[in-house]
Amino acid sequence: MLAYKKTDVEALANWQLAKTLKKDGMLVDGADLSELEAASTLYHPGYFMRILLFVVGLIGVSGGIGMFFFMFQDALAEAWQVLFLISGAGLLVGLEAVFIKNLKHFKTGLTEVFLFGGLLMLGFGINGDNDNHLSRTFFVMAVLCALAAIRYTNNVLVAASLMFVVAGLMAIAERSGPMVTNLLPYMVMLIFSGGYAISKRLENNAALRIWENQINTLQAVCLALVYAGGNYFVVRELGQSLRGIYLEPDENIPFAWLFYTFTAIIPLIYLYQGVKTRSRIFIWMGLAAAGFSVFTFKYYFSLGHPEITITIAGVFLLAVAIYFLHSLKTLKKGITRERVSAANLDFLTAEALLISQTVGSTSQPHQKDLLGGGGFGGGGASGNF
Amino acid sequence: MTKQHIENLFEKGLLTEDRYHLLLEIQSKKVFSVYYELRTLLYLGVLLFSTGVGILIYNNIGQVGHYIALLLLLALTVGCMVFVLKRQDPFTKSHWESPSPYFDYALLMACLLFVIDLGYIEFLFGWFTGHLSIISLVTSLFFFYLAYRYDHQGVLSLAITALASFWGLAITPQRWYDFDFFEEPSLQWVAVAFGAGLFAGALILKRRGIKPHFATTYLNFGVIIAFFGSSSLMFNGHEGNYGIAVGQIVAAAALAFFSIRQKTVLYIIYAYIFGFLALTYLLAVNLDTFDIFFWLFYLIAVSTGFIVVILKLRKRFKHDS
Repeated sequence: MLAYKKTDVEALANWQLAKTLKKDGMLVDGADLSELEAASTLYHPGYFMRILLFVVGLIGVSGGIGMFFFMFQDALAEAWQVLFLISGAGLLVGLEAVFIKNLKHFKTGLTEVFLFGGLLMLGFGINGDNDNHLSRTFFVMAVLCALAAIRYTNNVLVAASLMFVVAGLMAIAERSGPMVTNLLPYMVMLIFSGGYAISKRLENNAALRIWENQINTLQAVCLALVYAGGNYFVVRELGQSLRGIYLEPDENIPFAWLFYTFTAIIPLIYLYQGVKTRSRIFIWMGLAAAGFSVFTFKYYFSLGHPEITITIAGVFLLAVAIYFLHSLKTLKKGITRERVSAANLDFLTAEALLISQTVGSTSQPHQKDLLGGGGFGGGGASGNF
Repeated sequence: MTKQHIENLFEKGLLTEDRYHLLLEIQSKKVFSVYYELRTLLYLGVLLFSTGVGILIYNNIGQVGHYIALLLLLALTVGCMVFVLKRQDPFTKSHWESPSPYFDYALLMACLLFVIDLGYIEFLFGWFTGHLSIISLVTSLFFFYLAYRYDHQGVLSLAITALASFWGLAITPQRWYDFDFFEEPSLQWVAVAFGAGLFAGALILKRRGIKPHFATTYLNFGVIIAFFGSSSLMFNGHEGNYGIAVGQIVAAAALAFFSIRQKTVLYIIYAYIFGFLALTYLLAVNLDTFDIFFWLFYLIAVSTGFIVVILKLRKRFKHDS
């Protein structure tokens, strides 16, 4: 499934992690990373280079596609669909043959240009000029994006795939009338709750650790979509545009109370879950959802003073932040307000050891493995070959 | 970061046993840092509050309770400043860790409120009418002092923005999209000079070792302002456009070399965008051709050539990784 050798991706991940930890001062003094660097053969530059290559690559690829269409302009009238399919496939083949197999590019910005460009062209080609089977196009694209997301370990395509599923459902609802449109929010919530449950199982699978980030993205987007499916603003406004109707301010959507409840409760559930299970994804999604819920309620029940809301929201956020910064001055149940870096390492290390002795029976087995295992001494070689 | 990654590093002898255990605790979430979450909340709180108060006062101008509002606002500003001033560490030329998590945000809040204070005082008493550019300059100098004294890059950005508005340059995103952020043409040259000045100033300060980590902020502002100024001259001016286009290409090339010497790709991004713009302009005006084939070939040739060169140079950008 993977376009790269699994060992190559692992070697890159090891080197990247070591670099980050070294920057934070977590590695031993004078740690020598040259061995890890040498083992990592994929080319994966920093953000600036990726932005540059993406911009330049986009200009070049646009020129290339333009040239291709220009050369076959006679065929454009009858067979433009074929031209789109050929150019899309061409970009993907170029990605594989030139950038991955030959130049060993791994997420360099150029790979994204070819990948996204190729999928986009394929999408237009698949759809053709008949918008009657838009939903079919969307579902095919969802599958293609999902496959590509796995093959190239790409986060954007995970999100794109899920958005195509939503778009496909919406296209069906738009054609099938009010009955299906009214059911759409429940379907979205149900489907992506399922998606979240699946992602949760994938997360614990050690064989899939190369896709750690993609699984996290899957979780985050699923949570966002479950919330969006229950959010009153989204359901009301999207429902209107799907059905092509206009609701007067005093008219309401069916089961409005239910969606008001979802809007109010889901952020709280996310935040509670995030704090309880120490899940960053739940915390961030909960915060974002809470912000959007405030917006939703203000949008329909506004007293006409947004500046007061903004001021109060600011005071509230400051109060919450100061409260937690104050109460987490010392480590509470392992939660700290400090950044995990060398600067406050002593504090954290002492606390962590304390925790591992008091709470942590789970960390004991690994310790035993390492101390007792024979692979420890020759570990340097066994890791990578 | 998975358990295997950490174990791998430990096996290679790169982690001490203490830190190995700490990382495992972090990975299994027994130790959980909410550093970024709390800081985001603080930052959002400061932004929302100062924006809200600003609009609140603007909307209610002309109503009773002016002086009370002004006093409250001043008290809040002073309160934030006192909080900052109470924690006096000696000035240092290099990077300085702020002593408390609230410190940076109190300073930022004080600065944002200070601007609102000035606007409110101007409305109530009209003290500054006719001297608004002087007020910008004073604000800017005050912010520069605070930024250097307390090592705050956000306040530094505010200071640069205020200094730009002293020269008549409005740095707002809304006006950037159509190269029309200059009220009069002469300001375009001011922008070029101001940007170049920031650039030179940043290099001198860096060489002297005075807050060298501020250089990136200066250079970003300088490069963007100068290039927007010269691009605006190029598109909107009447005479001497060739000279400006050629000048922009030369400046972009120089910036690219500078970027390579700094071992970062960052400034090459600007150099490419604005250099490419000027080159395309020069060709479009001089060749006067609408041959699609030529232009498509031009896009492909320039992009491919540039990518080949930049990939050849890739080992030089050590600072980015």
